[in-house]
Amino acid sequence: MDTPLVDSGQFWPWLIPALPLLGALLAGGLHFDVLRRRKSNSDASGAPVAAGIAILAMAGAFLFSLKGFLALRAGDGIILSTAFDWIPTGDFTVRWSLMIDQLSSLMTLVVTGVGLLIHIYAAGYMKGDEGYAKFFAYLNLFVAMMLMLVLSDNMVGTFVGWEGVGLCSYLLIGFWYKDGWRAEAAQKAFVVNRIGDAAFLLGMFILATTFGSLDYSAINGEVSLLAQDGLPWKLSLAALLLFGGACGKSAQIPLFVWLPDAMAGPTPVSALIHAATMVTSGVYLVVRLNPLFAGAPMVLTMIGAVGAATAFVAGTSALRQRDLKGVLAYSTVSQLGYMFLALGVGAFSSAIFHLVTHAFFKALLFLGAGSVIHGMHQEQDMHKMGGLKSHMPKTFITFLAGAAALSGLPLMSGFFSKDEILAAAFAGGGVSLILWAIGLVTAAITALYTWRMVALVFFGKERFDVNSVHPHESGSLMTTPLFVLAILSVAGGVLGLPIVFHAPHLLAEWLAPVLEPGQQILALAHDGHAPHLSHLAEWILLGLGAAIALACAHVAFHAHREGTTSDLAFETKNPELAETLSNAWGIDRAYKRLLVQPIMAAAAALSALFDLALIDGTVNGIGRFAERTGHKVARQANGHLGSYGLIIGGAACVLAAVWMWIGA
Amino acid sequence: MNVPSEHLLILAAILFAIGMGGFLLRRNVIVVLMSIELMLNAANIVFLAGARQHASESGHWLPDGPVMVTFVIAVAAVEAAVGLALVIALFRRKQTVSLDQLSPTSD
Repeated sequence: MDTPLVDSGQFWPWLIPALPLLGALLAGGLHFDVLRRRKSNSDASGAPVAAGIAILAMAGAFLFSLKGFLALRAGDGIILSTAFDWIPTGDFTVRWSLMIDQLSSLMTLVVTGVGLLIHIYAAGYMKGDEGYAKFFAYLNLFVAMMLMLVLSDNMVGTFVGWEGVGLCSYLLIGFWYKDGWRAEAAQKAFVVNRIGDAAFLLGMFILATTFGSLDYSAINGEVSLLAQDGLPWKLSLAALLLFGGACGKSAQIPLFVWLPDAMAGPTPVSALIHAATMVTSGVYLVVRLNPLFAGAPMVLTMIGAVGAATAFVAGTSALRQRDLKGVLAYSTVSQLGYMFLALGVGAFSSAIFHLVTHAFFKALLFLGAGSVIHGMHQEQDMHKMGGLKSHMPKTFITFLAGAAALSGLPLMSGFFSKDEILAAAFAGGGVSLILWAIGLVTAAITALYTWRMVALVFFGKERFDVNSVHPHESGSLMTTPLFVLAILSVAGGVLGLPIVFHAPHLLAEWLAPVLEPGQQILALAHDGHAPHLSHLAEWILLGLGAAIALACAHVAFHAHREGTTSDLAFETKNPELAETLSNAWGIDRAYKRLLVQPIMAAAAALSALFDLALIDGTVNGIGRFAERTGHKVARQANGHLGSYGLIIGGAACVLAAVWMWIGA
Repeated sequence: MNVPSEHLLILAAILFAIGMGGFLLRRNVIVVLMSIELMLNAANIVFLAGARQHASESGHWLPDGPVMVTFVIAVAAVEAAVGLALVIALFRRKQTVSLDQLSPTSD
């Protein structure tokens, strides 16, 4: 950071998070209006207006994000907009301040762009739901918080958004809270996220005490200076703690268990939270603080290992899911693992590249799955689907595009982003080669579960009662966003073409100013020259990725296009393995047995011992003492003059005795 | 002036004890009132003994003791008048002056 950032004095950046916030307030107000009308049995038609408001707010936010992007492109430099000093305390000041730089501009475009499409889709998907207006209030609030997270120029503002998206995800996952298990899933998401949040807070405290500032520019600048001769262990610890926070939000081992359960929310929520926004915030945080992480190679290695492990474990779990959204949930965890793998090998721009393409194709897949579930009357079991391609042609075509991108078929967006990550891991050499191998295996697994899903849902015979279930194509309000996302999923790869294509890597060039400090520190560790691959090696890696994706897609597709036979055959042959895989290697159950149950038992014991016996005992005891004494004393007021006189006389004698004794 | 103050105090204590005993032990309301009277007079004797003692030590009389005694006599007279009026009213209603029969039955 050569020049200190100066406030641009412009106010419009604040409109990006403020518009969805306003939309949330208005839609929330409409919800209360709807409730009131419903009570008085009059027409409750205010709800569609709420969707309109929410969509308009998103469109406005998107336009202002675009304005920020264009201003940056025109070379205006980083835009800083300060509202006011929030916590001014001597040397340490926290401001309400937004920063639009290359990274946050990209994130706002993805969040508001994909978010806008999901809002439009949700207007069709949630039609007729009794909490329609409330749903859009929550959605808009969620986006506002996510935008605060990425736009804030200091960690405190990011933390506000960080907690905000946690709260909104709780509200949205548990949106249909009348089903108990959905409410429980919401609580689980909230609690698991809190564990990560605690680590985030601790990491933030370390940075605040070390640098006396929580502004990103200050932290990154000072870290870059310190990194010349290695970072002190304290900062490595801070990086580790922040990574713990990222693990919670971005669903990495060990804190990924909330995400598969979070499928309890309405499908647009899954698309918004698990594709485009909340789960990417961990990746964003690491990239935002890239000098800090680059200066802590141990932590970086750990991030890579955790990412690779998560990618593999979640990928294999996705293989054995019968729930359509379950496949996508584990797939999301697995793809997030890829992003962390990329961060671990120092390929920050590749991680962001995969984040962007993943936002496109996973949002598309979730929305497509929502369309299928909608058409199948809330059926999510893939074994009870099949043959839907003729019933839902538009959903089928777009879903195919998403699946192709996810499985990394050649020239799709996912192909380029995934291969870039694998190439970076391969180029890293040493330990990174192990990560590369795991990544490659996971790529094969990804193709397997993706095309198993496609074959089970859309091909083969109908495995549902054709007489009672009539699958239908969704309305244009829902299919239009699908087509837009399909185009982005297919063509998103142009953002970052490989070097061997002799085309500019748009994304890497765009992000270069943000990533440069981190890259410099990494280069320092490699004696000045970054790991580099020859063109031949790149071609081979690309070909390998394409071949594996195509082969696995082919195998999985043909194994499952005739129906559930191969699934069932696997289950009868390896019942234990199938069981373990479908339960995410039993990690969730292990948590239940090793953590949840002991904690519950300890809580019960403490409650009985400390709460009931000690605290309640003391309080109740005082009350009982007063009551009993009162009863005893009351008995003295018996109306007999003689006993009164005795008490008066006795008391006088006692007083006199005491007085004489003290007086002497 | 050859009666020592101690004797006066002992006399007051005996009178007070008799009054106290009568107040606690007797059941006749009129006797109880008389006992109260007796205790008040015991207190009067203590006041006057104190005043006399002070005068003999310092050579001049302080008005405090005799003034208190005048008050007590006035209040005692009023109390006796009111008390006896109440006793007469009670007697007219209940045909008795025994405390045992006048007291409410305890629980």
